[in-house]
Amino acid sequence: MFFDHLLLGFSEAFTLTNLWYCFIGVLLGTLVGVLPGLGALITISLLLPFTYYLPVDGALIMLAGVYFGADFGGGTCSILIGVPGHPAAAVDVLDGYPMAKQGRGGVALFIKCIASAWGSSVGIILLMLFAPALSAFALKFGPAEYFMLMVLGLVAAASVGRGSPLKGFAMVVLGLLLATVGTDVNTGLQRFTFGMTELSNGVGLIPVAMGLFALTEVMSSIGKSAVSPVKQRLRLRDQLPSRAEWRASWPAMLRGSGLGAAFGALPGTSGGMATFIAYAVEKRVSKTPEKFGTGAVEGLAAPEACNNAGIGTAFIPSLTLGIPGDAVMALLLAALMLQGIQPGPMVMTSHPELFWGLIVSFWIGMVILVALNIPLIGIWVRLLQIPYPLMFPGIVLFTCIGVMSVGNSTFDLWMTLVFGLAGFALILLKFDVVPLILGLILGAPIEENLRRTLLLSDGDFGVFLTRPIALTAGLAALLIVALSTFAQMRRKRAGHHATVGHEDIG
Amino acid sequence: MTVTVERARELTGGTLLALLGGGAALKALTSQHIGTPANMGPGFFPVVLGICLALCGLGVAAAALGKSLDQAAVPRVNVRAVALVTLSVALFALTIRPLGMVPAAFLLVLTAGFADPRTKPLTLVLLAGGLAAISWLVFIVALGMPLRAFAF
Repeated sequence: MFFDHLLLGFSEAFTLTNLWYCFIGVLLGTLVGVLPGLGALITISLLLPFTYYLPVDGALIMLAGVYFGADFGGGTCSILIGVPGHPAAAVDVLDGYPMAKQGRGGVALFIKCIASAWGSSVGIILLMLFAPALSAFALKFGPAEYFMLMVLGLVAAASVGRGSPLKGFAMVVLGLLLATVGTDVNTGLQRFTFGMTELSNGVGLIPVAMGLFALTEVMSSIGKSAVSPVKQRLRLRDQLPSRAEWRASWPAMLRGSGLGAAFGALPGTSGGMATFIAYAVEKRVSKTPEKFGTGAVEGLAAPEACNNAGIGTAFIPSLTLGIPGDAVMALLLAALMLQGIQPGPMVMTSHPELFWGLIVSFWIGMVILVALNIPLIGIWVRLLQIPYPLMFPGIVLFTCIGVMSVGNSTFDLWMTLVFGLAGFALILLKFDVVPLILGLILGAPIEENLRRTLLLSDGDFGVFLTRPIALTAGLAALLIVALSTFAQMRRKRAGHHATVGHEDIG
Repeated sequence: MTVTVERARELTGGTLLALLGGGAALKALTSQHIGTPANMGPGFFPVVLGICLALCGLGVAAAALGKSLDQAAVPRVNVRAVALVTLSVALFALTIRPLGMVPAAFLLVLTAGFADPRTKPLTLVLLAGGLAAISWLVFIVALGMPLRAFAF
């Protein structure tokens, strides 16, 4: 059975078109990962509307390729210049940059690439092992289970992210509220449309994502410091680590990937949170903690492995339950929805070729990525020097064309602008916009499942207590709220900021 | 000084959300059928969410009044960037129908590009021309999007 599926995946992924989309995805991902100011999130937002014009498998393969590619390329900027290109790569600055300053930049890039490849492999293997079982199990879930699991997902995303849990929770609720705009599915009545017919289909995910992630990002990045030139020798010979460096880094990769795999499956933990924990753990177990921050390979290997393992396992809840853990996963599910596929456990049974093709293309993509990153790193480094003033007008342009391409309506453009400005204001007020997107994408299913649950139970809320899975999910959600509130209070009392260097990257 | 900045920020954010949530709940309450938990009307979920949002907003604002706060610097807003990016998108929205995509793209890049004072005008014109040409080739010629390149 397993091998049948794998075979199916191979036959799917090895078609010429899918290999092409995989290649384009990882290439584009590496490119934007290397370029400061562009990351997986903004790129996938920009590409999302265009995937509408692609076959569904190709679209998913390409977007996933961008995600992996941006991550492989992401640390390059942090290591060579000391400025993280995007939040997920912030931790690479701590030890990667000192290594580059000592002339070991090549080694740092090599270790980072190997750690990423290792971490990704662990994540993908876990995804292959657990996703089929979980989705088969999830087919038995009723509306009560779904409702509680979605609540758990949203609560986790709200509490674990940046800033205070209360503010995260507020953003989730705002997202859910935005999702109620439009025609009510059960009665056909208009909600919050204020007489605008354009709103009867609801607030589009694409204008919101493009506004919040692309426009907001551009507005807050213009005029930030210029990139300094890189002076590094990056031939293959300069990249090979010494035996001592190998010995130091492989246990770190093991620990990092384990931690990342565990965190990745939980919602809300991506975007660099887990990598800082992996770094802290590595420092704790090290016999020479004083070396951390001055160019310790372990301090680079562990977070990278952690980050990539998390990408693999983050696909588990998204693909099996249709519950995205982070913004990128939400956008991937949006790509599915654009093509008329409702995310959920049915996806794996009704479209097995989609899932297994995606898995096999992950492996292909990884081989391409290692090839792109180790021998060809010199080319990417030259790209790093493209000045942002020349890039951002292009980002704004592609945002607008992308929005137009989906609905061919200028109303969507105005919506994008409104959400861009709203996102800017929210970031100024220190709200994280990621929970908002998760709320928006889960709004319709969560309402639907709540309504169905209570219809079946005749309005009795006790139904959530009598069904074991729903109860467990609900208790887990409560536990997360309690723990994060407690952590928040302790942090406040200690009187310092959450995590190292986390505040100024956002 | 720094403490008051943070307090003002949290108060603003919290109050805004409280108003938004309260307004949404009120709007849903007055214009939609609420129903019962067993048979929810279209207004039920929005009312609950609106109240939740209002409570969250009040919580954020209240927390800012009560406790000792982290240090925060006065946030610096690049007004020029925000204004010009906004203007460029608005221009695009206004011109894409009457003028077509290529002129609209040209105008957008030109306007947005001015957001960074370091870019020279000539560079910007070349960039705008180049990006307009690329987007015409990629989106209209290659991908076949239903947009007109020139409307005149």
